[in-house]
Amino acid sequence: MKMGIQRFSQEKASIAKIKKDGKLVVEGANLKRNEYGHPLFADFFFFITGFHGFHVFSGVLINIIIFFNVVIGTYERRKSYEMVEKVGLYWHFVDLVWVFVFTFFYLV
Amino acid sequence: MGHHEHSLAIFRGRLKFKSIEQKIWGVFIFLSIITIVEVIFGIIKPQSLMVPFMSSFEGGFMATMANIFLSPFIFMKPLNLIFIVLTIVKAYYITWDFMHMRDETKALRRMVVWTAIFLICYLILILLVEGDYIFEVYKNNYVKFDF
Repeated sequence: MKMGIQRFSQEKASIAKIKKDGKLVVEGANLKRNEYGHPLFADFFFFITGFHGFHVFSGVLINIIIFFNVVIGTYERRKSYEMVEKVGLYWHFVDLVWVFVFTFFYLV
Repeated sequence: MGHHEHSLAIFRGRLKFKSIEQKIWGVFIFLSIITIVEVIFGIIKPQSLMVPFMSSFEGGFMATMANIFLSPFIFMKPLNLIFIVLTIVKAYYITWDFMHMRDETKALRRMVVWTAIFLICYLILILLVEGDYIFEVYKNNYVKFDF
């Protein structure tokens, strides 16, 4: 029991030592700090790429659903492939957004 | 629904494809080439393209007007200008061929494109004004104007 408490206080002391004297070597870029530029840019970058990534994720899911609907003949029975066209339009809209995200957040 | 007529030519009729699938692959290859060129330029960053083409005009109303009209050549690195032009080329082919805008009537095309261009110009204006304000606050450490 006593040894447990001793070890706990030692751990606390070493964490306090790290917090006080520790030096951050690799910072990278996240929502708190950005070693490549201004933190505001990192915030904006992750906001935009995060939202775009979520759009891509949902686009992939919807495309998979459409693929299986085609395979099991849903649109053949419906006598209309319009839904494929609509999902294609959504997917290429996300593509169109990416073209601009790529230019203004990666190239410029 | 029936069969839609697709126009199968790009580059103002200079390149014709046999089918809609062939055209999609052709456009895909063209857009891939543009992207590869962009990435190569982004990695090399040629020194000659990192300084603006011309310096700003000084003195008088006409100089200010010239600075505004020629601002992409005065205040931007040519490399970024190239990136933006190539991006607009890519956006054109994505909308025209992947999103089938080429097969729509002229009136609908104009409606969609001019509305988007207006809204994007407005967005750019807002971003530049707000960005400049935040830049000034960070530089001078005080609120520049308060509504």
